[in-house]
Amino acid sequence: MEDIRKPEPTFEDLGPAAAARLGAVIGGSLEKGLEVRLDPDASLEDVRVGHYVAIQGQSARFFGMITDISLDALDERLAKTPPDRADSFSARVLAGTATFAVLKVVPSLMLPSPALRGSTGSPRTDSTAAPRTDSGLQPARTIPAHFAPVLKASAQDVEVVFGAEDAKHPRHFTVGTPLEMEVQVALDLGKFTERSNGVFGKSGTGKTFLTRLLLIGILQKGAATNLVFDMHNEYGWEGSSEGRDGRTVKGLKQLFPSRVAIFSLDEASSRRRKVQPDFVVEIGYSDIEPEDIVTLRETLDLTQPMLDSVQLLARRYGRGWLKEVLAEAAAEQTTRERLRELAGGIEAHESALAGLFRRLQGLAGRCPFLVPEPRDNAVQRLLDYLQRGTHVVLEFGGHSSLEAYILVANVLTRRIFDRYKKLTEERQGTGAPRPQPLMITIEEAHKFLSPELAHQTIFGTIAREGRKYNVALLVIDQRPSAIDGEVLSQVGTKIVCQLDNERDVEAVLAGASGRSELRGVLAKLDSKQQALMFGHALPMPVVVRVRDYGSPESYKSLGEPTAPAASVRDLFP
Amino acid sequence: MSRDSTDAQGKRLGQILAASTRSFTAQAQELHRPPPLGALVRAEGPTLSSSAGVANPGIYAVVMGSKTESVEGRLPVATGWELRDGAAVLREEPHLSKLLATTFEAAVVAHDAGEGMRVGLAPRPAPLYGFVQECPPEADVAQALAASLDFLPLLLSAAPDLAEEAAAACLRLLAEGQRDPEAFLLRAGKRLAVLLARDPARLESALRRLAK
Repeated sequence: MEDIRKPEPTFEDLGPAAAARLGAVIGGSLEKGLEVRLDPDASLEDVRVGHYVAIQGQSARFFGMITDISLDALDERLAKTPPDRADSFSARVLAGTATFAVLKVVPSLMLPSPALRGSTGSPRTDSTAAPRTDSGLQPARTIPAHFAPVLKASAQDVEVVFGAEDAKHPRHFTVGTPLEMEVQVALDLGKFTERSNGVFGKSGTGKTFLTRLLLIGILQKGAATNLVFDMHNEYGWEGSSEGRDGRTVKGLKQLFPSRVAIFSLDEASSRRRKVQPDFVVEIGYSDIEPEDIVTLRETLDLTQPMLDSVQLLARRYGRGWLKEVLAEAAAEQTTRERLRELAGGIEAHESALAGLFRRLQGLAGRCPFLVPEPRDNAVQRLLDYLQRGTHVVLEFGGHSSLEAYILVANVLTRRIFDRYKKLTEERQGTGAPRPQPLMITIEEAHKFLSPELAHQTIFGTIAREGRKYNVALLVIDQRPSAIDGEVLSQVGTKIVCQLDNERDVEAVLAGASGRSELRGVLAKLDSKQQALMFGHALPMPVVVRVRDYGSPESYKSLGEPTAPAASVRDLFP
Repeated sequence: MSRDSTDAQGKRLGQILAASTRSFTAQAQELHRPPPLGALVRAEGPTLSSSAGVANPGIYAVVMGSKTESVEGRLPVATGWELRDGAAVLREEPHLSKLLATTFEAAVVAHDAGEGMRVGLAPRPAPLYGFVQECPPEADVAQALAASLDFLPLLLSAAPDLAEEAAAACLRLLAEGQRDPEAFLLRAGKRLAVLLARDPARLESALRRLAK
């Protein structure tokens, strides 16, 4: 942690001398981005898409990102008649003068000079003023004039824009470094946890790695309480590293033993992995509601008549509907007459009912944690832990099938969200503070949030309304195009690793400011440990090289905070 | 910049016979010995009240070309066919030297002003019969011109048909006075590249000459 007395960088600190000059503004627009001619002595090949630059205007400093690089010539005949190969002098002369590189820079933010912000250092506030951060940053609503110098962003620039992980920014967490820079980029986890967020990227690009870091940050900074549906047992205890060496990395419980509980759906698997679960989850038949079955439509290949039958059965049998169905299905002698009788009794289709029975019987067989009478109330225990401010990772052990994951995540989340909803409403009534934010992490999110399901499942509801009740999602997915567009538009902060599919790229950038430019940046990401981050928790988009995780040094800064995390104790009275 | 005394004391090269704001023509002191193409020279400037503060103002120019011809305004008659070479002809018939004159033209690029040397045309042309002196690359004025290179646009516009040749020759001569001639030529080449970007043929010609 840095000394809180260290002064904030000022406008004057950010003068041209603070950073290396790259070139000068020669054209462009606020909407389409600025054209910056690269200086002759600046190395073109050291400039990368995604680099972060500062532009020193006359009365404000602008911050932006390089989104494209092109070659140009003062006269096209020069470019089309290259100097003789033996004439290296002419080639060196022409490079950067008559032929030159043009950078496309999208300005995102501006920091007006103190004179424009009033004598107190606070920006002027009037009804037309743009929203701003405490540092005086505003969204760029104008552009610098011709020939304004464009500079490589300095460490001070990055700190001004993103803040730093220090005592002045108790919720800031370092996630990595901008490309080709050694300065750290911090994410404001306080803002991050205000809304649902997404980590996207194709398989093997480091989504799990990044998510683990984010979860650790949230834990360390006390920004929210985590509930993680850990499909592949990657977060709670040891997880596999992203490298090829097969080495393991520490999970949340190892780093924060007193603040993390591991729930397990598969005790045997946990013990084989030398994990001592805090609670073994069993889900009673009576906990399964028709809505939970709807989310399994695709994985169980359920037809609409089958889903209609579920509703009819639930109406007929109430909470015990599944128990009744499984009892009927288990009876080998369930005759056609019996089925017809049942179907007639609830006005369902006989063949649909038969198909439904077979599928639900199969589901129960494949999910041994589904029991008629659970030993303990998993939902209540989960709430108990969360209410104490303990973060919970639910390991699926060997039950990592999609159907098990969807079913369990849905069943538990629905009840927890109901509880948070009631609690928030009660607190609104009494004027008490809202509960500590809850961040629910789900993988394979498109299976919960597809356009067909998003309006029927609890996850769609949380994505749309969760903010009102301090509940947010952290969705991890490799196919964002399969997520409902409305849900995706509610995702506050997007952290995007490499994506190949054009539809996925389109989906993840939909609605983002400057998306055509960001598409170019996204296309140039390395396949590992690089991510484009943008949205609610970030003042401007940034490409980061994700920080190290897994080395002994990395654990030193990622464990328990030296000071107690604020506000956990007052999560629930 | 104050004018260096070496400028005033430089070797005398010629005398001005015609002058305009943009250029002057001078007769070389020695037949067939004009200053080389591209050489920086200093001409005596007019001593007027507007030159207050400059004791001996100079006009600086770059040699754009030279020629030797009959002073009678017509071509001389060929002679001395039996002799070995042209120098022998002049030795055998010394009166011919009196009938010939070598002249050179120089384009004005800078002048002394009250506060020092200023790039650009002088307010008034150099007076006739004023003497022209050499201004070597190591002189302060040459160093200042080499540092800024701001005289190049003026030079390139002086005589379009030869300007890039003269400019390149001038830069090579100035390079001799630089600590790192190669770096200077590269910098100068880059300035030429911008100025001549719309005329690739002239640029190529200038760069080839600069690289030699």
